[in-house]
Amino acid sequence: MLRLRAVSAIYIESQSLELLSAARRDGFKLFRTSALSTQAPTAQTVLSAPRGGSEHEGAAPGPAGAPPPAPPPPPPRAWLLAAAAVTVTASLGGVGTDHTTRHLHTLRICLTRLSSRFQIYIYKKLSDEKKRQLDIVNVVDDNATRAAEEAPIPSAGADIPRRVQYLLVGAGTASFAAMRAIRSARPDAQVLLVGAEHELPYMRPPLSKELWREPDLAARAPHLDALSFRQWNGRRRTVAYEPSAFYTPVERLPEAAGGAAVARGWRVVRVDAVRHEAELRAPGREPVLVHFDKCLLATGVRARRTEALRAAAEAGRALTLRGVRDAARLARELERPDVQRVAVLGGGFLAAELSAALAERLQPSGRSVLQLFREAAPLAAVLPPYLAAEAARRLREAGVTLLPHAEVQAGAPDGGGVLLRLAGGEDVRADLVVECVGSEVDDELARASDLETHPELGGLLVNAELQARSDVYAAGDVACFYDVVLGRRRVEHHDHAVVSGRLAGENMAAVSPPKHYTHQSMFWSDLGPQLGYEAIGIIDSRLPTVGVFSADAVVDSAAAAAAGAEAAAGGAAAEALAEPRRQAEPGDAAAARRYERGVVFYLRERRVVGVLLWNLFNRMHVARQVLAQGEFEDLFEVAKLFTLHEDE
Amino acid sequence: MMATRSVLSSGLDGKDVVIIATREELATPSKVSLPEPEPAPGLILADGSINWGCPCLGGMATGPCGSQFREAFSCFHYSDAEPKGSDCYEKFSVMQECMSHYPDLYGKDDDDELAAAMDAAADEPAPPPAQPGPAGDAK
Repeated sequence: MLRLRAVSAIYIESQSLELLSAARRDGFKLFRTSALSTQAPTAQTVLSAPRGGSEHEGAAPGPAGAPPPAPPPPPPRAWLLAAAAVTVTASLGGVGTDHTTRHLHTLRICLTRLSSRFQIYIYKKLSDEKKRQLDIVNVVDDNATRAAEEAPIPSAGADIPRRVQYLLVGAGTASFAAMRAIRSARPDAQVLLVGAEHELPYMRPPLSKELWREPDLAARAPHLDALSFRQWNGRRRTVAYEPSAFYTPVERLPEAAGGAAVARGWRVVRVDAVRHEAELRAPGREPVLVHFDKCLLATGVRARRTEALRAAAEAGRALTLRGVRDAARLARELERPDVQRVAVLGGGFLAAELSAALAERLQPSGRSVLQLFREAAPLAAVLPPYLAAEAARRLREAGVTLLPHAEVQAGAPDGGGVLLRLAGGEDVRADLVVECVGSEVDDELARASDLETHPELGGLLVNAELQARSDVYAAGDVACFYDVVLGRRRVEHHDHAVVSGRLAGENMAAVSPPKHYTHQSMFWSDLGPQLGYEAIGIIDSRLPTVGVFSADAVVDSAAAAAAGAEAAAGGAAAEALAEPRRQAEPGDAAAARRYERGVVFYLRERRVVGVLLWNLFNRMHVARQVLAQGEFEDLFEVAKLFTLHEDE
Repeated sequence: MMATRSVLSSGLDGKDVVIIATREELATPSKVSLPEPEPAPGLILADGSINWGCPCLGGMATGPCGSQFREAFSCFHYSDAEPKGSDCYEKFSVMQECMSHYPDLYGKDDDDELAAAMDAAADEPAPPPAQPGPAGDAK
């Protein structure tokens, strides 16, 4: 379902996500053909790329073959054109936004003056040359990676600069976004990212989504920095935001005239806000003290573990999915012939997404995916019950066997798998368990650094400008920030990492007056091929909601109605699809219907604090406006703004 | 009005309201109007200056040839020469030289498509910048 996923292409550039529809509809061709990034193509792509130059033999180089109207000195023009080509490429860096469209327009005007043939020739020549070099570089890289396996990078603490302008703790999306903001504002800035993981900064969303469509995932696991996936428009994209060439080697950062470096496999264990000092540690290495001018804490969260599954985890039969290494490990496990039944534990976004993705991957080979959760339906904490029931149906249709009301009390390793004992006394056997039961903030760094944390929400307390202390900021999952519109919050979503990381970076660069958090982040998810949803603001099923659906997008199917009636009558619902004994409780007439497409407003008092778009795409800009305004007389009138009657 | 929609309540204390309306009713004009969305800053700001923080630049302005790119692109953007940018040879050469040291960063894997796109761009008469449709692209 390609139409769904304009949004998922936007892994880092989120700001004008909602304006995509225009770019998509009208500039689709250009947008699609131009969605290049500055990232290195994967080795695979490079190897399969056409080589040789037979196709440009016709366009003879130099002024003789080119038909420019004036007789200009060719070399300058050539360089100009090549540069312009690179500029176009860069400006389209992997995503399409309204910026892209607008910029393309500007460039088009410039380019129309130029002979396109000539320009293409120059461009091709340039790029063939680069391809050749690229192959060599890749081979070298591979060998180097294997040899250096687990040593931190740099391996010697002595190679870490003792003093940096900007220290970004954590090397995930928030830090990457902050780095971009800082380096955009101050091209001469020296930025050091420090990450506990060994990989370059990468995006997490594909890890529970597109990545599982990659057949050879396990084989590619040793080269995680080059790991790529196919995005919605068919284009390959690496999970790493930038290849290693983008970054300055850590040891060269002090002498570089500005740059970004990533220390990998190093962990910041303490930050002294008064002395502007951070302590870095890596296994088997002496601690290193780094003095900073400004510091960002963006260490993210870690997967929560289920106590009952400890033994299974130690036996390697219960895994979590948080980082790219976890994904690689899971992929390897799925290669084992004895892994026939995979249990996904949890009822949240990650569990639901992963269940759907794994079912799609495993079903063709006759293997099964079971999703167990405490609640009556998946996503029950975020969706109103009637939509959670719909989500359950979608997941079942995607091939996932659902086990609601499942509380795992024990999970002992059993042969090659795990025997799960449920609260009801029931036993469920799985060959592999993936724990997706939420996440927790690691507050050790905060405690060691005397930084305030939030007792209920967790995370590092920062103000609306994302500042914890003078010159110390926090962003991403770990930041408990003050949102002047929706109150104090902590948000664990990719787009929030982008938005808050960028804001923190801008404030740290301090080129313009400090800004506070105003741009609301959004999130998106898919459940199987037929359902995608996007949301903004506070999406919490405990809040009152008003949902508006178009009559033709609500199916009151006989089967669904029958199931509802049965449940209402107190009988066990039997939808004949999967687990016959345990269906999500339909409860009432609302849950008996199928909801294809609509909008749901989440309310606090009279204010709209969240908007959910259910199978409704390219309307995030409207949702954003609704959220900004907040109070309305009649939400039905507001719903009309979403043109629910127009299916796309 | 109510004939064309049905309202259901569900959830705890009926806190979840579902309104199902006909296409016809949903298609009638809304009584609510929202303010124009704030235009997201593009590559070129309203005052004509370059927005180096534009996400559209990807890693271009922040990567290892960031400063060279900024020099060259600034020159191009502010150039009054005819053709535009023809006075920027020196700066583009410097940028190109820098980029040549980073082949896997500034290389391309499918120049054919880019070429096709640029070909199309160059052949096409410039379309109006505003895009039609509900997105309300402000400029």
